[in-house]
Amino acid sequence: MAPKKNSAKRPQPSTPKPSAPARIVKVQSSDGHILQADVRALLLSSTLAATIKGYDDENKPLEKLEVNNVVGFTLKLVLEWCEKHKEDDPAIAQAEKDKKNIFIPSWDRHFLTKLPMGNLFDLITAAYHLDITGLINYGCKTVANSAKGKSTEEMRELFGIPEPWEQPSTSTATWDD
Amino acid sequence: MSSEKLLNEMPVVLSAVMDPLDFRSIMMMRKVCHDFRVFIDKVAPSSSKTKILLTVRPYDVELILEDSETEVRYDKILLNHQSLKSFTLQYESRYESEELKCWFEILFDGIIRERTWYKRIPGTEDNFLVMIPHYASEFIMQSKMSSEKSLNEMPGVVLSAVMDHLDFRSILRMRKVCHDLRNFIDEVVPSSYMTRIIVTVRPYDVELILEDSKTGARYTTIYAHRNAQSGRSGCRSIRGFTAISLEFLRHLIEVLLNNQSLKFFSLEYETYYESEELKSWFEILFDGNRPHNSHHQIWYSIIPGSERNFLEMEAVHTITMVKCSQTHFG
Repeated sequence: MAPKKNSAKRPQPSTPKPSAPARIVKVQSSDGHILQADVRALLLSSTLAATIKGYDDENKPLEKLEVNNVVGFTLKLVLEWCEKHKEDDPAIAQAEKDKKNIFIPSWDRHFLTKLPMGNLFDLITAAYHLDITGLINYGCKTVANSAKGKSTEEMRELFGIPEPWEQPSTSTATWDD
Repeated sequence: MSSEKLLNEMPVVLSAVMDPLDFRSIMMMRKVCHDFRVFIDKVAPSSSKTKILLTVRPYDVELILEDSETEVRYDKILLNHQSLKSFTLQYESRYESEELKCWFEILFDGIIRERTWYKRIPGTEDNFLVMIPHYASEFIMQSKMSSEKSLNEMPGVVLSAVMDHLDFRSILRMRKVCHDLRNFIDEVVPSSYMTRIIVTVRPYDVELILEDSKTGARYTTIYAHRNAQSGRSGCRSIRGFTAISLEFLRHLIEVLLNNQSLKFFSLEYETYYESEELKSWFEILFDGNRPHNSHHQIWYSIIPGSERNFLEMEAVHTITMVKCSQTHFG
C-alpha cells in the first residue's frame, strides 16, 4: 500500500543526520565541468544509481562519474534539485508518476518557475536521461501549468517556436484543421 | 648558481612548479613579473580556482573563491582566468531593479530569452558568457551558451507527460502551435483526450460540446454565424464551419477516426437539414447503408486499418456516429 503522506502536501526533506557522514563523489558534465555531489542525492537518478551500484559491487573506488549527455549548467541544476530531495522516499515520486494532480512543493515551484523555459527543457531532458522520476514529474507539471490558459500565439512565444509561416512545412494543411 | 637562466624562461619547468602551488601562491607569483603574469593567464594551472561566490549585502561584500581541487577558499579577486567556469553573485532583493537591468543591457550583448543574458567570449566563436538571474537573489555565469531547446524537441515520453497535465482545451491549442506538436498529439493521443463530441447546428449558431469522460470535464463553445449579431457571452466568430456541409461532415468524420479515445459523435441539426442533399453527402462519405427500421437507415464505413471495426451513423434528427466492431454491426 502506498504511504499515506503522499496524499496531500509532501513532507519537506529533513536535514541530514549528523551520524551518517556524506559520501561525496565528483560528477563530470559533457562539457568538462566537475561538480561534487552527495551519493544519496545521486541515488535519485536510476541511471547513476545503477552505475554507483556497479562500482560498489566490484569494490572499485568511485572517483568520478561521467554524465556525457548533460552540460555543466544543467547538471548543476540537477544536482541542486537532487541535493534538496536526497532525503525523499523514491516511492513517493513513483506513486506520483501517473497522477494528474501533483502538488509541487514551494521550494520546487520557486526553483522551476524561475528558470527560463529553455533551461527548464534542458533540465527535464537531463532528468529524463538520468531517470529522475520526481524531477520529471515536477518539471512536466511546471511546463503544463505555464501553458494552461494560454492562446496558441502565447504558447509559441513561451516555448520558443516560430510563427507558422516561419516553420518548415511539408503539409498544405491550415493551422485551424 | 651555475646558470644565469631564469624561471620565466623555462615554460615547462614553470608549469611543473605551478601545479603543486595553491591558488594564493599563484596569485602572488602572477605579480612577480610580466612573463609570469602572461604565462599564468595563458596556461591555467591545474590548482586554479573554478568558482567565485560574491555576496553583496547592504553593509558589506563577501567574496569567496573556490578551488575545486583543494577546496581551499580565499577572499581575493581573480579575473581573466581560463579555468573559471562559473560565477555566482548573491545580492539583496532590493538590487533586483530596473537599474540593474540597465546595467545588464550595457554589459551584455543581448537577451536570449526571458531573463537570460549573454556575451560572446572574445576570441571564440561558440563560447558565450551566460548570465541567468536564477533565484531572486542569485546570478549564475558560465562559459557555455545554454541551449535554446523548444518544447517540440523534447523526448516523446516527456512531451506525453506534459500533455497528461493539460486540460483538453489547452491540448487543442497546443496542437495548433506547430507541425511537430500537431503530429505528436494526433499520433500519441494523450490520456486526457476527449471521448465525446456533441455538435448542434442551428440556423443562428453552432454549439460544440467536448466531453472528457475520464476527468468529467465538459467544454462548451458556441460559434455564432458570421453575419449573426452575437449578444451572448462566450460567442465567438465562427471559423471553418457555419452550417452542415459536405466538407464539415468529412472533417468531423476525420476527427472521429483520428482520435483513438473518441468513440462517440453526435451532431444535432435543424429538421430542414433532413434533405436529399444530406442523403447525397452520406452516399459520398460512407461505404454503404442498411435499413434500421421503416423510417431510416444506418450508414457505415470500414475504419481504415482495421477490417473488423466500423464507423456507423444513424441520422434522424440527430446524426450520431459511433465506432463499433463487426459483432455490433451484425
